[in-house]
Amino acid sequence: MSALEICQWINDTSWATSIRESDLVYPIIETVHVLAIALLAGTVAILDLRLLGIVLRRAPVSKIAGQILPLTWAGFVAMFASGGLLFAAQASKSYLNPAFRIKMLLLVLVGVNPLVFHSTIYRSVETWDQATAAPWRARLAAVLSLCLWSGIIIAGRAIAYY
Amino acid sequence: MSLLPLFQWVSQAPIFAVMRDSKWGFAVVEMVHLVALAGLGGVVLLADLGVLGIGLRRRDLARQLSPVFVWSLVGMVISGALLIAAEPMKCYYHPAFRLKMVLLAIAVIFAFTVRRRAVDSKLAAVLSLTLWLSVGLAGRAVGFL
Repeated sequence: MSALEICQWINDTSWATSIRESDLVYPIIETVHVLAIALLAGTVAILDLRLLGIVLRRAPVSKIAGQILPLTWAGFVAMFASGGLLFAAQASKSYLNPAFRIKMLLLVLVGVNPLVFHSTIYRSVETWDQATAAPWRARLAAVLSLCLWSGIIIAGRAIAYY
Repeated sequence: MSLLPLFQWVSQAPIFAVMRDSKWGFAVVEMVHLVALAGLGGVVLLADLGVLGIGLRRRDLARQLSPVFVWSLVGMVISGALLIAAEPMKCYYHPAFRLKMVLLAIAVIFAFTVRRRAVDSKLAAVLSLTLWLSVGLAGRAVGFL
């Protein structure tokens, strides 16, 4: 079974069809998806800005990261669930949509970024926890995160234009 | 005083022709509007939920995050104004748009007055969250209705 066939199968399930054809359910899920941007990308951006030494300069990085993380996860769950349903409702169309494909690629990259960050420079966080701006490798991760999340939002919006 | 002449002027002004006539002019500005939403919404959520004991718990959080709040708001207002310029007459007569503008004015005034002074007030935090969520919902309704 090819990826396109899988998408077509999802697209044609009764629940995906009912979301697609509902005048109310689709807009509600889309609204959740748009507003939860704040919970996911917004909270990540504040941590990124702390790493860059732009906000909360006096707060230890590890403390900010630890306190923000539950909200970021809540945002991730809301985005993943609502995004999954939006995809299912338009699965065949989405699969062929170039903006959707770019968004999926950027999502993979934005997932790899914290994996690398946590398994490298963040291991030594005790040595730079109080520093105004983090070491350059952590600042690079922050800039990449800000760019990737912006790109994901932009690509996500672009899906509607194809 | 009616704002109708202003909206009519915007709908004719050559300077906004790119917003009215090009598909990508609108699309690009809308993308900026959404990216700025991440910043503004992120600050509002962290500052208000923090007062309620969820997430970031630091004294005076709203003031420390205020530069991000102000710059995101500037980005949202400028991009939002350009989005209005793309379809001013539709906006003028749109109930959700009118509601959004009223809620936005209340939310902004509240943020710079009550919310800024009552930094530890849970009530002010809940009101702030409610106001901004309403602005977002009304904004979403502009696109749907």
